[in-house]
Amino acid sequence: MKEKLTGALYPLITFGAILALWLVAVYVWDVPSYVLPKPLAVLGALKTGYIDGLFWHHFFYTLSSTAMGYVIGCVAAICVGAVVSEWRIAERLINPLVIALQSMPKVALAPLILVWFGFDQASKVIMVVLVCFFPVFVNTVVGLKQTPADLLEMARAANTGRWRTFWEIRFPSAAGHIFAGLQIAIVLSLIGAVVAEFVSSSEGLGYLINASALTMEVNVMFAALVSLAAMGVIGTQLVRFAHAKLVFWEGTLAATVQE
Amino acid sequence: MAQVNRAQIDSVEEPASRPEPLGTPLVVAKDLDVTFHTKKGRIEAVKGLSLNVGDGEFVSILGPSGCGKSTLLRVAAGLLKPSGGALSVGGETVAGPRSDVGVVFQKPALLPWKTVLDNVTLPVRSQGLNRKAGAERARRLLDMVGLAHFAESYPSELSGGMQQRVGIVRGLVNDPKVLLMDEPFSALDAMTRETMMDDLQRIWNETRKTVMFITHSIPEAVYLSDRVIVLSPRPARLVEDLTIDLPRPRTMDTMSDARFTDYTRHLRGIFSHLDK
Repeated sequence: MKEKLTGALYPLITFGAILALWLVAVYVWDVPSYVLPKPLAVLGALKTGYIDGLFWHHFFYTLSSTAMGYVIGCVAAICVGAVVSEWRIAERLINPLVIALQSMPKVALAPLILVWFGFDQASKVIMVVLVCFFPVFVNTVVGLKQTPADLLEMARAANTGRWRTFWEIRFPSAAGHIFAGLQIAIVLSLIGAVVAEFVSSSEGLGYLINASALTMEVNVMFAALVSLAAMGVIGTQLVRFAHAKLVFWEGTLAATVQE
Repeated sequence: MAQVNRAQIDSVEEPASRPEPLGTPLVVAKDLDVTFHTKKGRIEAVKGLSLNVGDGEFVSILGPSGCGKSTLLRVAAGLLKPSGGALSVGGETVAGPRSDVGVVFQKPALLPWKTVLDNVTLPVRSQGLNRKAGAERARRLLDMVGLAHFAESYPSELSGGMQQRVGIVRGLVNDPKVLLMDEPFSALDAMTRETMMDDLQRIWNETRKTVMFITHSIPEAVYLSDRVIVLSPRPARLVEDLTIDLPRPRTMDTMSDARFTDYTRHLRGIFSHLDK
């Protein structure tokens, strides 16, 4: 219990210190409000934004682009990863493309994607799909290839077919790795969505930040940033929760005989 | 292909021409060669090895570490193709994993995401056999090893000895003719080992499976077996084939029996010669 309390204390200290620094900057050093808004002004912007309803539209636009792209990108990555790890030919065909694309910054593709897929939401979703794909793909392949040899030999001795070996042994044994990829993809998916909105959009929190920059409404920019941070934190926590629930055996592995 | 046919004929003819005192041979290895090709060159793991295990017999294969005894077991399990000669089970040359051969590994190799029951019935699902009947057999066997209450538990909730018992039950779940065991107790502590030896003897007594038991422990081999086969260091050849004539069931008292000590001393003598 005490452990838990002190655990919660440390982040509070950090945030308290940041808030204090912010207050000092605004009230003592008199940083002008068009550079750094007062904390209360940000709260005010959040209040008008979400209570008067202007923000919700942008919030859901970004959320839906991110969520759709995330789901499509991650599912595709897991499927392609499974195919690549099961069939040597697929690995040889796909790997060069993956290596070429992986080392390229995907956000640099944003203008091209807009040209190809238009200026509405589809292009944002595709951007998110692209940035989500690689970490999940790489983790899936690595995870599937690291199936313990003793489990595979046991399955072979029991005449377990390829399909059953995949579903009952290889896929669950890769689950931890896949979730690590899904975790990274959450953060990347938000980056993808916001960058796509920066490039061209009339909706979404990324657009809101861009538009507020032009009108020097720094408090609105801050409010949008807080919204994005909240989205990221909630998404990450959801994935973490799902990880703990679905891959329940992780962390208990040390208890099984490993000698 | 010609070799395979020859081996089949041999194993069919053998019981007729040379009757075995301990039932018909079920597992027959004939002029077995296993050679590995590695970066460092050829390694001959097994060379010209012939042996047989009678139906219902408990045979231990004893040998120094790395002598190729596990290789022999992997050939019998159909996990490894011999480079020469053949090994047959029930007169059929082993060409791959078979449903009438159960394997127990050195590590329990349990799936941490499956319950004990689902782990044990993996061979049933894999062979496409009747799942209900399989689950019933599994529960009976779990009961036999004292794990009836752990059917719905996960492997991480079990001790090392219990996990290896689950491994043994999985090896037996398809009611195989032959049970192959690859140093199944070597990862366990000394106390657990002794209880496991008694458990295995009881299981063998109740099921009367043909068992090929790989070990590097002399007392373990003598305690459990009808016959102890000693293999030489690589390449593995047969050096001794010793029938253990001790009354069953064997107990802790058996270990202080004069004959038990004679057998272990004899085997130790062979081992010390092997080292030279």
